[in-house]
Amino acid sequence: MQVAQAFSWGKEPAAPISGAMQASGRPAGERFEAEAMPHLQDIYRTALRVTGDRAAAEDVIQEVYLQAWRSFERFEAGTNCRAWLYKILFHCVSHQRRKWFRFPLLKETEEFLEANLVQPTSVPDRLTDEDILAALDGIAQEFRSVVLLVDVEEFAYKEVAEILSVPIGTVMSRLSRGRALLRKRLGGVARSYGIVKSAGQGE
Amino acid sequence: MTKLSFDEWACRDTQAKLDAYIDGELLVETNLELGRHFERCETCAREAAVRREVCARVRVAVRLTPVPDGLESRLRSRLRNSGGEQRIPWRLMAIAALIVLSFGSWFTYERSMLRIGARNHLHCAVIRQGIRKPVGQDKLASEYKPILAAAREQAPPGMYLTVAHECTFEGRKFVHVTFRDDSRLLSVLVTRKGSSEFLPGDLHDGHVDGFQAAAFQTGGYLVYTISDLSRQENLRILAAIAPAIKSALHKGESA
Repeated sequence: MQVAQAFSWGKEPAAPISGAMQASGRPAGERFEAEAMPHLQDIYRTALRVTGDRAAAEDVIQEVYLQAWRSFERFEAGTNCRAWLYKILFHCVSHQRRKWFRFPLLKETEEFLEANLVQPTSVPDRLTDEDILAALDGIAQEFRSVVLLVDVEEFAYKEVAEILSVPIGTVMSRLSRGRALLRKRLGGVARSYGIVKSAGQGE
Repeated sequence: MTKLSFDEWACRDTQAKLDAYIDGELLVETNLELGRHFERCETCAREAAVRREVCARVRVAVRLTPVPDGLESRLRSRLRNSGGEQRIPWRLMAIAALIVLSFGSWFTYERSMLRIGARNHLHCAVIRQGIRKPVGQDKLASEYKPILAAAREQAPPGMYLTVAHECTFEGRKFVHVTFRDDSRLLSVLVTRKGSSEFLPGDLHDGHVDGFQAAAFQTGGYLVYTISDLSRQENLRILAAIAPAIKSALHKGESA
């Protein structure tokens, strides 16, 4: 086949969602429905924790699903659609960082917390889910993202490394630091409720 | 220097591995070692339990967060509309080309032409290949091999081939060759130009959607290099591969 003829595919109008066909013969809309749509709620919840704002989270997931749909014709069945969607999510978030992000806490604040808060010896039942979420939201975004992907979405370290496009060692160090900060914040909350005593108070 | 007793050393070692332990990311033997340590060290065992407990509480708290009413229907409506929108850019591009030329706003039009390559780079090389991490896959038909050969010859030292294939984005087909190293990506793209599209003259370049983009038109084709390289390097590669690619593309036409 000559090169000029080989390029005859040129530019073709895209079919609407319900009509586009994949190489597998199954309509793209049907595959997208089955493989991508079931993850919507999980992705929204992650987007909400990362952006810190409901409207921003909804904006970002709309962008994620639009980008996913536009690229879906090349997404091969059987590969990890959920990880692919999360990769798009963090790509969209990083590109919109200035618009959407709450500013992460200053490093000095984190260091102060690390130095001064008490490690809990258990997580008191009296801590509510709101307390847990407030503590999670309080840690810097780069740590929070890894904690969300590992602890909530239960991705393997290797998958998280691919989603965030960072080396696996970075995932491990961010996770370790993020969890430590979280435990210390929870210790601080428990202490403020009088549930645990701070260092220096009588046993 | 502080000297650690054997037990202190074992505790430090265990603490350093605790997160990987609770996530099931350690080798079986290391898991067993930690298990044996927990039998004789209540402090480390308790710490592992606390860490597990915190993870579980976080998981439950996030998963119980309510999702707004109508979220899915709003998304579906947006996606349905996008099915029609996919056809619009090409028509708009033709109209926009006329308008911007009328007003002398060549810059905007040039960027929209560069964006054709940059968008496929983003969706194929960055997002899709980012998940699948291919290495050295040459899926090109023999008639496209000269494009791969020229690109391979000019790719910066240390960058390796990930995929050479044909792909489609928003209805447009590309011959797409990608290279990467630890931190950079490079795409060489060839696509057929639309009837309303043109990039006259020599090389064009700019920074588009976060990538360095360069392009030229040869006959009915548009050829791109899109990358995270410097402007000079990205342009150099395009200039260097241009003769071989032009020759490959027009050999078929003149035959």
